[in-house]
Amino acid sequence: MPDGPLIVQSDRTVLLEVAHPDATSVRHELAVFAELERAPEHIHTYRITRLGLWNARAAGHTADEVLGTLERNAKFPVPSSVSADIVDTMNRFGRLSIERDGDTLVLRGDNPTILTEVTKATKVRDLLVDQRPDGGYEIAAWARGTLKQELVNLGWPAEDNAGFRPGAHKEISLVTDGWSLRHYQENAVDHFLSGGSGVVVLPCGAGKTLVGLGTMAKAKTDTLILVTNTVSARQWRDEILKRTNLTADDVGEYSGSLKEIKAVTIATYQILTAKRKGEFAHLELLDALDWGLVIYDEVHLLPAPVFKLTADLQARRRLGLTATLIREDGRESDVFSLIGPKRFDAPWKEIEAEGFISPAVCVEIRIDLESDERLTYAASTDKERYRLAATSPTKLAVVRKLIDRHPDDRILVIGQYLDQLAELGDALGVPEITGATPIDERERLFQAFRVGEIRVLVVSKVANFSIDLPEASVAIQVSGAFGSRQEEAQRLGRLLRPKQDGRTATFYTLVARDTVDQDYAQNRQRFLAEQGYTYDIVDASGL
Amino acid sequence: MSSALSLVNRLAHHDENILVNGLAIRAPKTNGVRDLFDLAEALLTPASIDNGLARLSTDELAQMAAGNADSELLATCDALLLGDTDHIFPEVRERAQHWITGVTGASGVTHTEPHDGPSPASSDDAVVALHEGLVAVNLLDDLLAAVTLVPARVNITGTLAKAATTQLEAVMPRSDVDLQSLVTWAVHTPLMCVRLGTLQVVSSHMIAWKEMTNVERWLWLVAAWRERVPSAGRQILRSTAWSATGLEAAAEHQLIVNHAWIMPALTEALATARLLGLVRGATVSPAAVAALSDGASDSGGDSGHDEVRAFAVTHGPAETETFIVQHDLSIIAPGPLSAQASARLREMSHVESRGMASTFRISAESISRALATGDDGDALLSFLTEQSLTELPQNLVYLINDLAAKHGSVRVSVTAGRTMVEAATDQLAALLGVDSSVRHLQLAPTGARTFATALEPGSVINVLVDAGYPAVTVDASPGIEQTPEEMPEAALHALVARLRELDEDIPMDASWLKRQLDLAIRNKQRVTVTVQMPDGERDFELEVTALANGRLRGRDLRGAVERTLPLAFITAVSPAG
Repeated sequence: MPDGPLIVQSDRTVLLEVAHPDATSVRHELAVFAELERAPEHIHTYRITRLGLWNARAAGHTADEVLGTLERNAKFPVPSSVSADIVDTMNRFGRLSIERDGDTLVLRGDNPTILTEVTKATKVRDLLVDQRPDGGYEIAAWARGTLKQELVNLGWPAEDNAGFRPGAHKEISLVTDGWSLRHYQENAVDHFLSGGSGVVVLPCGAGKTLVGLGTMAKAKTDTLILVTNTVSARQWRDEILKRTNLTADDVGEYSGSLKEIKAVTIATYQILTAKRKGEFAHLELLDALDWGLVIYDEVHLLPAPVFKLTADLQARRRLGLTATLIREDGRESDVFSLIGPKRFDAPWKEIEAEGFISPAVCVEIRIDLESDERLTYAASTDKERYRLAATSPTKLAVVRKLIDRHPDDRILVIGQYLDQLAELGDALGVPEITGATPIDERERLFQAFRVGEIRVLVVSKVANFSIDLPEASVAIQVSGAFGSRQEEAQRLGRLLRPKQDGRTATFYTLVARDTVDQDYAQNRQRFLAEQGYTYDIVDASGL
Repeated sequence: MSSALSLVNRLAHHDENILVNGLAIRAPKTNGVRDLFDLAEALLTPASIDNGLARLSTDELAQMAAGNADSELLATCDALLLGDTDHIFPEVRERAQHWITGVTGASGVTHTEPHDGPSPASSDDAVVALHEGLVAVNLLDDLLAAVTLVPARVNITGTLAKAATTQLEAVMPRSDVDLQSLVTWAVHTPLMCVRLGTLQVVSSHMIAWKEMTNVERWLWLVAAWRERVPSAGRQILRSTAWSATGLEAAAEHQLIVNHAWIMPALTEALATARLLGLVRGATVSPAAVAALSDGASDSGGDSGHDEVRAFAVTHGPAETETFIVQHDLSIIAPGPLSAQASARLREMSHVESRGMASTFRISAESISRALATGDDGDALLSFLTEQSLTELPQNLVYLINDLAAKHGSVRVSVTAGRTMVEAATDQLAALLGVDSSVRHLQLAPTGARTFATALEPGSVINVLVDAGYPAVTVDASPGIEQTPEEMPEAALHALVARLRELDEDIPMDASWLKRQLDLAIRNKQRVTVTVQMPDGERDFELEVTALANGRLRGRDLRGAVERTLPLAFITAVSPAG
């Protein structure tokens, strides 16, 4: 038995010893079929999941290859139950396939028993039109995505060989004057295009937008980009104009305020899911042009109705971009079915070690509530408690101290509750940005922050995603959306753009001791701690 | 002496445990059994005899039918109440002949053909299987710890209740071993028992268990497993080379009277063998072969047992006492962890995963639990510092120190029958007085920092801890409660005791005669009565009509006359010709 860096556990986790000389090369082999679950400082934990194994099969890897990787690199024998499960699971992929026959899509199977089993399921039967003389089943024209979802649920994922519409040709190229795609961005683009559709997972600040642009430049087709909000849409537009040959005439914004449809159109999730008289009001956007590529920014936030709409977009290449596949609603398998398998990912700390994202330290500051606050907290109901603890006025003095400790940094004060943010803004004498701030005003303030005219900004959750503030090097989180791990990651992500002077970013979280604020903080921190970020705990009184 | 009378003798004087075991197998109908005679009769019914014969192999039945029972078979039959140490009851032999004739005709006994089953393991496979078995041993240990934390109720069928399954799964590490299989295994070992519908750890075994290394635990479990495999089952497992598919056919072939009784035992034996790593996929470990060899005994000191031990000691993985502590509060032992280090870590953390490596996760709750069981912060930190291969993360040290500093700030005690809650500071007392999460305790102030409540201390402490208070029970004595094992044969023991007491003072022969005659009268049965006459014994063939005042009356079938015979002179009764 080789003394490799892996230990395969019977619960399908795989432990990777980071300090082992072969760890880096083995990590790449492992990433083909296992999901990185935790990446703390010494031992990384991967999980072998059905989706991971099917991802690997979809990419052309066999069960023998997967077992070979494990057996060659494991310190102890691979548990027999795991080996058997890998073979069984991988053999399930591709036994069914979706093929194109002219204008018709057909579900075929290499084993009549499996085909019979799945077509007997009510949810699948409803998506099929007729059985054909050759044994295959004609698929309802609209049902390609839904069928894939249902087949995954039944444990028989279909290989989608029906191909993609090439989309209308659009000459797109990167204008690489003084910059180029980083090696992992190139890899991500290549992995995506060779796989057809799927998701690229990269840390915040690692340049996911550039992966999108790189893909557009290779796909050279009309592209629909779906983003979380208008500010993000405008950042995408700016990046497109800055880094590609496209001009403002080529790029449209489809949002609450503008309804432009151009060869490259950037739309918000919100506008796609907006309803009028009970109907989605902007569905025509999806067929407005012959999109050859659809990009989903922050795919982990994709709202449920967009999943449904996405089921109808299966004929188009779909690229999901995200920092984490964690969905607080647990719909990871829908991402697999409807957007596609994970095509590329890289651990945060690995990217950080290469200098592509800024190093960061995380500090949790424990605050003692004043006696009267504590009594009010104790006497209140469970519902009221988090808000009371999270918005404790005691936090204000600590925020001040922290700002004073970082006189040369650009600082974001981030919170959940608008009245708390308003009080902080007033007390600190700094501008605040919330959902109510007009888009132009938001952009003006963000720009002032970027160029250093404003050193401190108070921001609500509107700044959680896709806001490019490369100079921000300190964040002070005063409250959050309860225990949301992805929100914590997104907020830290605001700090991870590499700093020109190479300084380390600092992410503070203010937590009221012995309250639910503390409990939620622990949950929020888990994702980042598992990505290798260390949280030191400091008493506010010791600052 | 008739079979029934001989059997009554055995029932009256046999070792009680052997007797109860025999009765459990023979399953006589005990409805209306008033004395040992009734019981003996019930045991001599064909159905009950067949229950006993079902435990014998075809070869043994053939020996019995041919009247060639050797001393070993006689001893087995004695234990099964099918005979005594000298002979097998004629009724039993008759049934044996019936079965042998039915299966083989006149030609003799067929022999079991070997089945295609698992083949002997290569040494690599056997070692892998052993390692997997040791992982299962760790999981069993985790289960024993879990049931002391979670009240695990079982259904009447012996399966875990749904709620208990959910609760246990929440505290058990993830693994591919089914929880119910672990519970069944633990009960059979028997490290656990079911008491009042709840799983309890058997403390008498736990004392020794805690001191053992992982390999010693594995050996102990192998011995316990072997003990539960019936001897006929060992033959069947050997003959089928441990194949699950061929098992039933082999059992049917080997146990021609009835094989159904052994199937659960064989299924369990195979399932446990897989857990122990004695069988892995399609291969059988040499340890399994040695464990079930004829030379192996449960007490050790023989070739089979020694071979199993040598195998485990030679191929058991090297264990470690050290581990890695990470910032996400996970602790990982990247190899087999010693039983003692594992137990210590479990006291202060939650076991997340078990395999060749073990992973644990520390949380505020797990540290609070450790503190509540008598640990202190310094002891926890000292253990972690000494055994960790890496520097302890700052947040972990902070967490332990923070919780240890507050631990015991709220104390729950019982004074004069009332549950008292005492806060260490005025602020804590003020909080307790207004806290909505502890309102239902209805804490009534009895002093500046003390409260009384009508609820019992256990509930009070739970509510306080759930509400986030660092509460402790004063004078609590944590640890495993001493629990007696449940005795499934209790009813049979009671029956035997009752019947033996009833029959204690009755002269066996006289009472037996009287009983035989009573039966004959009731059934209008013709009997041959042997009477002691001055010139020797003489037989009368009678249709008995009455037994009263020490005299038997009946119609003599040969002389067609009525006879009255003094009971005191009758020496034997048997069915007429």
